[in-house]
Amino acid sequence: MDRDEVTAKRTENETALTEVASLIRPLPDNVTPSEEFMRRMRIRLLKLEAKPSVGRQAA
Amino acid sequence: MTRAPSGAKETSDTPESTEPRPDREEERRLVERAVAKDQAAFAELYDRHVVRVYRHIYYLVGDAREAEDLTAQTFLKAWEAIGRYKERGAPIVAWLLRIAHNLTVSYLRSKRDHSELEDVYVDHKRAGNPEEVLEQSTDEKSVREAVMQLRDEQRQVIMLRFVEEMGYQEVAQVIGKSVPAVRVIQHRALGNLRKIMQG
Repeated sequence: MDRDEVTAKRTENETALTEVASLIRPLPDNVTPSEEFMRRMRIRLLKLEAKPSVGRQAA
Repeated sequence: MTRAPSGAKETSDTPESTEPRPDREEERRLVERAVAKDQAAFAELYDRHVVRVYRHIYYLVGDAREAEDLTAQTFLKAWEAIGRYKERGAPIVAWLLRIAHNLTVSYLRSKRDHSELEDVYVDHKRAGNPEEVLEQSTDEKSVREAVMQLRDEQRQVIMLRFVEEMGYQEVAQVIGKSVPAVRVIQHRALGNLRKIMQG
């Protein structure tokens, strides 16, 4: 294979990969957790106990 | 060169400015407080990043309820581990996404019957022509199924680059590799996707 053929092959490969990449799309903006979930989870996080460290336990 | 994700920062191959930005500074302070087990600070970090974490998980599982469960698990696990968190230049969301990704992959592995994953993308509350919606859903479904067949690392890079629309630098921080390594992984992943999709 001469240099032109190598270049052509490489370009062809890059084009194919670009096509594949163009198929991978971000999710639509409306894919979000429900308001109810976010609210409940936030409350849950605020109620989490800070685990005492080993030092504190020993004390 | 392959397509750059529309929202990704193409200039992000170069290190970002080290000049502190107000939002970054504010987040750094929140992280410090969260590391010291301040629930309110952690809840604020949750507010900032929950949607991004959820969307990452949703792409992998394709089901809203499972995505919410795994999102909850991600933040609970993050709370358990936050005391050991060390800031190494990457934003906290990178750490959260890594936890989310590992948890989700582990969850999917433990699921014996993957047939449930067939129903993905039909519950996006999309508007528009039903035929177009169906066609788009089918395309997305086949792409997603192909992405799911990639090795963990390749799948993560593809998701972060093209679904999350992150720049190379940010992806490198999330997965703990160099920018050139991310480029190589992306190139190989796209090649593998091509093969998978050609059947």
